[in-house]
Amino acid sequence: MMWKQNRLIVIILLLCGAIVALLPTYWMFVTAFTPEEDIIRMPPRMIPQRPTFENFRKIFLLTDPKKSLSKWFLNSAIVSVTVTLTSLFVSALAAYSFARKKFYGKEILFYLFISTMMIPGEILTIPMFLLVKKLNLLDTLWAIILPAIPAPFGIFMLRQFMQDIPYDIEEAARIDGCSDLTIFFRIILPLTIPALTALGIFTFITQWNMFLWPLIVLSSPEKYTLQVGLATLQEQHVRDYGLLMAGASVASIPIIILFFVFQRYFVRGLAAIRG
Amino acid sequence: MKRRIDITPYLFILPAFLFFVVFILYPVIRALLLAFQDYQLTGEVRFVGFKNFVDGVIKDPVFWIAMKNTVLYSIVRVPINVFVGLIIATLIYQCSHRWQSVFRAAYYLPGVISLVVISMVWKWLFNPNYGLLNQLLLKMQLITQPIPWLTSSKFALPSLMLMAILSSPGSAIILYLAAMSNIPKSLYEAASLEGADEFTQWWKITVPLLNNTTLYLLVMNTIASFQVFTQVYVMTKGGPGYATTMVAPLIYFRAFKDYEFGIASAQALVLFLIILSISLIQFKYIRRRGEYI
Repeated sequence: MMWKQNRLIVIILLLCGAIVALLPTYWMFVTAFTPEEDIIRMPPRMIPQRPTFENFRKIFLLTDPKKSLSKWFLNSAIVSVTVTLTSLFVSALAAYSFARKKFYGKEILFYLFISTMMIPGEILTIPMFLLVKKLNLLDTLWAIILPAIPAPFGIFMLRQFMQDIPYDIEEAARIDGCSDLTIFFRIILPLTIPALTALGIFTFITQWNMFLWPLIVLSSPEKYTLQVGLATLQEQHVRDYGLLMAGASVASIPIIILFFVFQRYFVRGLAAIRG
Repeated sequence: MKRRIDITPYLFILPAFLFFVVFILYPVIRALLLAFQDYQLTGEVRFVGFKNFVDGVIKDPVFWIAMKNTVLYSIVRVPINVFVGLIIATLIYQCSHRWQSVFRAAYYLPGVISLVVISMVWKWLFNPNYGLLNQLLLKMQLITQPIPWLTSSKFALPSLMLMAILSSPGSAIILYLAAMSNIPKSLYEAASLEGADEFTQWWKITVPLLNNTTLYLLVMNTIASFQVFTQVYVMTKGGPGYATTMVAPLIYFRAFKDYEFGIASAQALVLFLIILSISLIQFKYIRRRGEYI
């Protein structure tokens, strides 16, 4: 009896905490759907009284189509998808070799890779900027895509996973005359899909949300990613909160959908980072 | 028997290795060199010894203000975030499976939304006239005057701390829950047989056995906190005055607005050495205590 009562209190406490945690996100959507003249009306309404798409219409038509939110959305999508696919593929190739091959210099190479895992990317922005400038890639999406491809952590995580794949499957394929490449594509890669999915989601979200580096290398509005575009937008339209929250909502919706579709991977992926 | 070197394993590593050398290894070495160089925009480079450290770190009062703000911000937010994470995880762990997954999702969701968006929303919440925060506080009669959250130098840094504290420590909760599920149930059974109540069990068994997770979270959060950039850039630009100037934004402005690459590199190297020492503390501590979960 006592236990039942305690459990109710626990759930109520957790619900209160969850309200605090989710309030900013909720308030973003409420403001986005509130007409301009109601936003500054007091007291604020927790549920929009006259919901409207006006703010969304305005933000998509704000400037010429080349510099608009839809262009930024497209840029973010191009960057995130390209980085995720390439980085995953390149990392998986290397991880296969590190996990299942014997070769000279393996240990040294592997530790060279993972020793840089602790170096925060922020420290490297200046030399990276000079490098990208020298390669003539400033103000292009390549400047964001290429440096994001090497992923020591991804190699580390995929190697752990590939080490646990039983060897007899690989041996059997080898006896049948399969080459290393065939074994990699036909056997190892399909068996690594759970790890690849978790890593892929994390890579995608990291890229989608990335701010500092795109801010440094992109200068023309038609090249902006969503995050850089939003940050400049909020400098130009300081007071138009309906418009800004509509933009923020558009930037968040794909990630929120991804979160609900792949929810269990978020938990597993994080556990993998720790373990 | 003749031994032949099989190059296949190297070919598999080659693409990753090339990207790694160009976009990680080379920048790391270049970052170290730049800190001791005078770099002109024309590309002219000259070694200047420790001059950048003298000008950009030792003699630069703004760097010390930024360092003070960053340390203060981290000291306040990190322990609170981790502690809140522990409490919420403990509570969630008591729930049935269905509720557990509901709360996991609810507390983790805000963590996947971009910091730019989160900062924009909080700037709106902090708006002195129409922002939700002042409106709620006024309505509950906790304040009589609207608080000038981000616009006064007295409240600006505490406002950023408040934002961090009220943001859900989603990943801490997930990691704590994973660690809790690894604690053997037999320990609790033994403790109840000896008459320990639930709080004693939590304090004497759960919390000590989560030590490694706690330490890991403290270190990781401190490292992240020392690099705080987006919130400052979007919400305050370091102001008013220097009230919210922190190290990472300062380095950004020095490098990409003033084009002082040498000085910014010296400051970045100092920041890196601080981060490195924080993570070394963790390695030393964990090795001494040993892993027990």
